[in-house]
Amino acid sequence: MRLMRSLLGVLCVLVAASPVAPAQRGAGDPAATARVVAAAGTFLDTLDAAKRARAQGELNARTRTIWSNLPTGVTMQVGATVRNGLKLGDMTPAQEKAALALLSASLSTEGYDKVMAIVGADEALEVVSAPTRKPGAAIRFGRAEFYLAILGTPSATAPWMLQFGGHHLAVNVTFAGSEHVLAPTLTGTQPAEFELAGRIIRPLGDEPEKAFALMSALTPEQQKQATLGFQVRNLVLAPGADGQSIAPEGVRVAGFTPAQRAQLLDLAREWIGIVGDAAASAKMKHLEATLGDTYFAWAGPVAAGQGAYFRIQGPAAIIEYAPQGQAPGNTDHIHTIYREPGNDYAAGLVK
Amino acid sequence: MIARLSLAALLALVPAGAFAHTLDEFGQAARVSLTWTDVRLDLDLTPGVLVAEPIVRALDRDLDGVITPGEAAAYGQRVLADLVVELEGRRVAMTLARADVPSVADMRDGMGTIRLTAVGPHDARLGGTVTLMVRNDHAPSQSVYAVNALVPVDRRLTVRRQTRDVLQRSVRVEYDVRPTVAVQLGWSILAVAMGALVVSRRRRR
Repeated sequence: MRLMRSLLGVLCVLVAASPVAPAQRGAGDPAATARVVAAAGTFLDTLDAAKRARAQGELNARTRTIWSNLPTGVTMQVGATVRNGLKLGDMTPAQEKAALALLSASLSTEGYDKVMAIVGADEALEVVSAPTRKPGAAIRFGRAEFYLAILGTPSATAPWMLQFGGHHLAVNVTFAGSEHVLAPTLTGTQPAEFELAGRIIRPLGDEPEKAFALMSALTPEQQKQATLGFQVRNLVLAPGADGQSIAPEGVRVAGFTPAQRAQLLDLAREWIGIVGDAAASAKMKHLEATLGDTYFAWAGPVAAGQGAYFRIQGPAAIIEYAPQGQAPGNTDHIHTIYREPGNDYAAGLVK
Repeated sequence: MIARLSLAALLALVPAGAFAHTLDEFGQAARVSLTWTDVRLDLDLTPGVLVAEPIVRALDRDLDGVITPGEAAAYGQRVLADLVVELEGRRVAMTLARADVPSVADMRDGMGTIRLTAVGPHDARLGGTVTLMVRNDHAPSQSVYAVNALVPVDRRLTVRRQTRDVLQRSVRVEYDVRPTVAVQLGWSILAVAMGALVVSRRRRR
């Protein structure tokens, strides 16, 4: 009987330690959550009842999926025609200031700068496209068409979500206590660079340069393993692909040298670093701890300055970078996606 | 400056809302799934603005500007007829399960995606390694293809390898079929426990 109990105990331990592990929890930063909750309250306090009803909605399995890379006026991949939330164009200056303060509190400094640069690129697109727009056309670009939404009730303990998005942007941050989950988040741009007040702005920063540098740092054999051997012209896990998992492909990072690993981590930080510093640090540690099961895949030219698709995929995160457009090697129109397997919308943390 | 001039040149040619996305391509992105009993195919079709009109006419057969569920299903069936799905070398008969079509306006702007789902039962006895082949022969002259195998929900199945042609028109997906580690471990422990029980009882006698 004692033997049976011992064996039963061993069985229980093994089942509990099965490969189906929950999403890795980071250290969390209660102070950061408190700042975001306060900023959310400040923003909501600027709104009258009508605007508040638009800005804040219920958090559920349907509402959280309403985001897209597509511009205003086009039906989104999930079937919705209007984004959640209140758009910047419908806010007073004070409301917009509070909205952007909330966004800033939710992201890192670099993340906020990247997001606002994407907004700026779309404003540049609107300036060029508006004069030739057909009267009555539904499609709109530009800063005014970026929406901020609060799903759920801002809380230091219960889950809620912030969405900020428009054309080429969908930032989805789920707050679950002190945990902040960035996935899924889409960043993109067209044009890839624009001029603002005499400065050249590149919304996606050094993403392509770091990727080409990593690919160049691989050995010929590693490059061969990384190369997919077929053209990839768009994101695989695009908007609307929630819940889907694709088999990893490419070269396994387990075989990377420390320097190559450092380069891959630096590349991944371009996405992971969008969220607040504490959350980003925890996620980077998770990625580093799971590099052995992470893959790097590439499709396209390897010479820097040209457009190529790449993917980082592992238990901690999946990141895709996909140039769009007509000409092979296009670098001016980019879509990227950041997801966390099993943890999009903090699914691994929130029951 | 270069980016601004390129945008302005494109805008002179196409509707203002459309230039931001692919113009003269018909994007076809497929996702394939295998379960113990079925093959599932999800296909997203996105015509660029310069190739949308023939697609719209193929959908809107009565040209009334509205695509009915019946017209969507009929189009889906025509696309399905151009797809080849084989499991272990045997053709799988696929049935259209869903045909969601965007508005004509979205398609003419190059931003509408037609979403089709097809499912086909199979009676293959899965074990060892099995191979699923999918080939898309629909509208080859203007299409850009993508095909990916989804990670099976059934943990008895694992994608070992995907082999695509350079255009991603076809894929061969090799699956490993095995019991899960937990199940294997569970059976092993149960076997040990049973053996220990037998030994224990014999000793008492």
